Amino acid sequence: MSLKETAGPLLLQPATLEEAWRLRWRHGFAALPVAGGTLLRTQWENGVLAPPSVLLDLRRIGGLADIGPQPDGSLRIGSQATLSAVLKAPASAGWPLLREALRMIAAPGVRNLGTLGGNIASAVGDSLPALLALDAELEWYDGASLAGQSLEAWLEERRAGAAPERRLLAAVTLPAPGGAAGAAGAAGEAGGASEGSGRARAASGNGAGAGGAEGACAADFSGGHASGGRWHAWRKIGRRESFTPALVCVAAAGGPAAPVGAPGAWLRLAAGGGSAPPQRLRLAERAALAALAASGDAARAAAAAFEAALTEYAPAGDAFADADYRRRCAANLAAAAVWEGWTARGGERR
Amino acid sequence: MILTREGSGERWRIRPDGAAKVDGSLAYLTDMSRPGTLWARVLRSEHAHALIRSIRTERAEALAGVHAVITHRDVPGLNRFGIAFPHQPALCSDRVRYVGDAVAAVAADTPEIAALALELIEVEYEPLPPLTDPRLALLPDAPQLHEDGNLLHRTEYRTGEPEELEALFAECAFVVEREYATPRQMHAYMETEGGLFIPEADGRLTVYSATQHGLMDRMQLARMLDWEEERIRVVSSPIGGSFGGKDELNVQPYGSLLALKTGRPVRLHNSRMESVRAGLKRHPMLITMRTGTDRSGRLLAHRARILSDTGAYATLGAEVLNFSTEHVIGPYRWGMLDVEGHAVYTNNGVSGEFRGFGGNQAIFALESQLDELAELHGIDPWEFRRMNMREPSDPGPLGQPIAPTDGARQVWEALERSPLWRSRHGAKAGAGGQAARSGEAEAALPADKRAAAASNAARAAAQAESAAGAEAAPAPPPWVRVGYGAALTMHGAGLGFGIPDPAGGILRLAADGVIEAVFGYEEFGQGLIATLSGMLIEQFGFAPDDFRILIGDTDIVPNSGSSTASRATSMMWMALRRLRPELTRRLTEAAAEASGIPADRLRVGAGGVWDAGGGLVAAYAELARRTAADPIVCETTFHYPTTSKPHVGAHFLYTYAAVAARVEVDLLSGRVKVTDQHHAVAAGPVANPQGYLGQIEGGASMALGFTLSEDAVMEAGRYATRNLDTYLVPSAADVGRLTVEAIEELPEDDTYGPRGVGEIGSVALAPAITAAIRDAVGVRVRKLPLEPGVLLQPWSDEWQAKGGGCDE
Repeated sequence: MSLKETAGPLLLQPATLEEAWRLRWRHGFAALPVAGGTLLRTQWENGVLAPPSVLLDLRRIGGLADIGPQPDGSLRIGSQATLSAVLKAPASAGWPLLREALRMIAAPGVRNLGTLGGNIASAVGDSLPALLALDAELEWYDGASLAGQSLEAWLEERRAGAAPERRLLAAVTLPAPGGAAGAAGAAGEAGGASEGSGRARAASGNGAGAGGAEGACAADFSGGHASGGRWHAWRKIGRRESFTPALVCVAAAGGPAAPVGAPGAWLRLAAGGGSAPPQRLRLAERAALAALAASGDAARAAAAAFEAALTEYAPAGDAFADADYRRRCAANLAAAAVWEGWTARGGERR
Repeated sequence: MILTREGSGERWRIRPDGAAKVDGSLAYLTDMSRPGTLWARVLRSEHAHALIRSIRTERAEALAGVHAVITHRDVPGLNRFGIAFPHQPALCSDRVRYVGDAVAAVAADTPEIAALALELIEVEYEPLPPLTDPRLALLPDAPQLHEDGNLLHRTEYRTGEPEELEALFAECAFVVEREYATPRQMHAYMETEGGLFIPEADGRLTVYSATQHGLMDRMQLARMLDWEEERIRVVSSPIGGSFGGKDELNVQPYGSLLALKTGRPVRLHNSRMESVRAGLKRHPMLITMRTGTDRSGRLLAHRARILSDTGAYATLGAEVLNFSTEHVIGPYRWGMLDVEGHAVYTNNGVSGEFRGFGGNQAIFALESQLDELAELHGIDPWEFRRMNMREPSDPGPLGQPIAPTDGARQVWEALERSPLWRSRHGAKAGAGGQAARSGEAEAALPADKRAAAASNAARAAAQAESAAGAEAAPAPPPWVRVGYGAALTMHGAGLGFGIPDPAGGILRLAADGVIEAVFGYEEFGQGLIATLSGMLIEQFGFAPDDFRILIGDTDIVPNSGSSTASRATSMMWMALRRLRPELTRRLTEAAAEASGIPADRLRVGAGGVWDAGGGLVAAYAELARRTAADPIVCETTFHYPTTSKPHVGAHFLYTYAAVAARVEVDLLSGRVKVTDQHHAVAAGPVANPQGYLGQIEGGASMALGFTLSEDAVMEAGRYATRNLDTYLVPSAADVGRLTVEAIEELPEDDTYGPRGVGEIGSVALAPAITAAIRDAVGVRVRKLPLEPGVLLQPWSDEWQAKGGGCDE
């Protein structure tokens, strides 16, 4: 037996996406893309994954860590941007929901290493419900070109047991904040999972454009009584208060805050946590909007969201929390988010 | 006295060893290396329970870079260890009883080669059904884990015949019978087990490896190697945390055997996963209690049955059960008692010593019973405890004579007047709920107590403002329920009757003019060096530069006993008290000889010996030169004070604590947040304010984990929580606000000085939290850690209608 077998994996460090793809292809897709390696490390430690023979370090690819506002008001975040970098980037201030979610991932040391792309590609990262509620779109590289796909569609593939992803994640794009596009709306034109191009539709949203300070979010609420005011909520439940993956997390974005039942109400709800990929709660969105439209009562909308989410959400259990607990908790959190959002009570609570 | 940095003045000393620990420059024993050091790894059992058919090491031995492979055949002496009862094999020969059992060990050039070599060792097992449920261990058809069966230890304490007890229960106005379950808690010290083992040129062996009692390790290793103890030197401090978990041998047998076999220094250091797999845990216990009261609420009858899962081997499982048996009785007066305990073997890891030592489990059950009975009587739970509390001169829980103190009443009163515990009334009244109960409690509080409470120190009030602060803080959302709970405990210190509990120390003037304080205690983060420094400064008047502290090296220290059982602080204090007259006499006499000033006009102080006029007569360096021919060495040996009643393990010195907790229960998730804690502790004078506060804070945080999140989950004898990513200790964000009130007053004739507080902060918080949960949402939690699903409630429109933050 040779001692080389105990040596670490071969480390490849491409400079471009094309080169990365070529290297990956050459190694028969055994080359594992890695950025911060924070999740992979725990999986290797725990024996969930065998350490790969080849590691494909994507961090040297030019431009892949860029975070920048786009002309249409959307925000494009390169897959290699670290969680800390996204949190600190002035450009992300207009998406406080994302910041709240990222701030509660792991600990500072892990956020300095781990990337948003890695959190997404894991298909179970705690940023995902927030990104779903923000109607995020993924940008994949398949060796030939970059192609967009809604995060929701990609996660539905994961939930359906799709083969491991071979494409390389280049970026994630968040539509201009406040956009109702891609949301279940009072008019009933709820977008299906397959509806794709969030970016194209983002500009038609009814919110303010990108930008604004972090505090803009609170302003959204205090100004929520004006028509067109949007709201959001982020709730993460773990087994302790910090540095722990979610058992359940729920993200919501909606509008307007008031008057309740105003025309043009919209809502996006998503839940995640645990080993099952997160899920957009389309039925709960529709039920809540229908109840709101019928009654004008945020409490009824919350109750409707609760009942629908209880049926719709399908998490996976483990040794620490069974699926039933996660389902009941997610339904509660969804209801609370809806109630707080449409009664302008907050949504900033963590 | 509320312990704070500001309130402690100059007694708040920066820890001498603090900076190096914080900046990472301190070299722990597991950081040490020597040229030519080999790396060791241990092969552990693949099964929770199996027979070993064969062990073949040839392929591993043939691997390049491997220097030695050892099995049970390589143990020259007793192939067993265990502080109290040596029966755990260092290296298993015919049978494995848990997944941490060691079968072989390897020393190689690199850790990677050692790991590879482990894979080449061929062990043929015949798996046996694992015994994982302690409730089945004593059934006739259970797999038998040891020759003498599955019962490690049985305890019993009765104050009457069973018929009498039954008759008493029949008379009771209320009887509560419940079962309580506690988790397999892990110590989770930051530094995992390991060390460096050096075969010396002079034929001795040096062991650099953490333990809480170096001389005990030396004895156990000598027994295993079949050597004289003096040939082994154990260096055991500094230690990156222990909490009881490193008192027993862990990696020392493998490092020692491999170092001697290879003739090379050998280093090993457990990974976190190996530490989880092989290391000790807190005993999970199932405690059933039946407790009855008379019409007026006096405790009449108490029956407790304790089932302790001691895992595969004994270590201190019997002693922990003894402690639980004593502490399920608590600081109360009873009509009649009937306590019985069993510690049983299973294939679930190994349970052993852990901060609190069986008191945590016992007090959780006992205090929960009291809370439930108080509620049945409609009596305020705190008043209910006062009604039933022991008197200062009462015997101890087992009827044994104990050092009398008024600790129980002191901590009860301190908590009663604490802003946190008082704020429950305001919260209740403000919330419009349970006003009647609140009023009762107010009425029970005499006017002078209210005055005392009002005159509390400004600091305490300021601190409590945030604690009390339901008014100040924004109203919680409508699905959050607030509750308050409290619990009381007495906690024995020292090893107890019938167990050798030696103490002692040395003070001497070294040749370089520095006073050396030499003790056999260990520094594992508790602040022992700072505490001893403070005592030397305050009792002798030394300056910090005048002395050095020598600990943790069996070649130089006296037998001061183990740094365990909340005993080290007391023992150091008592030793210094004994040494002080002789040391000051000899120093002043030497100075008198040098100066011609009579010794009785001289005193010991900073830098040397001083005259009455404030002039330095002789520096310590000068005195060292003058006494070089007959150096000043003062030594004392004594025994930890014990009770006179011959009941093994019964204690003589006790500390007392009362804890209040405020919780917020989130009905959406069932999660509980402990926002505030107040600990009142009666443990005699505060030897080191910073260390005292740190111990209570640290102990409380462990108790918080015990209550809310920590459990080393086992599935069929294997750990499901194999690392700190699934085994969750509380983070700073979980702890909330915490205040500590130290009650220093002891009876005038008390000669035992400050008591240790290493454990007591970890004992009473759990039942205070579960009482607060009951107060908040009406649910009694009897199984720890708490399962949030029990408290989660389905979304309700009525929550919003009620508005934010109130109860019920």
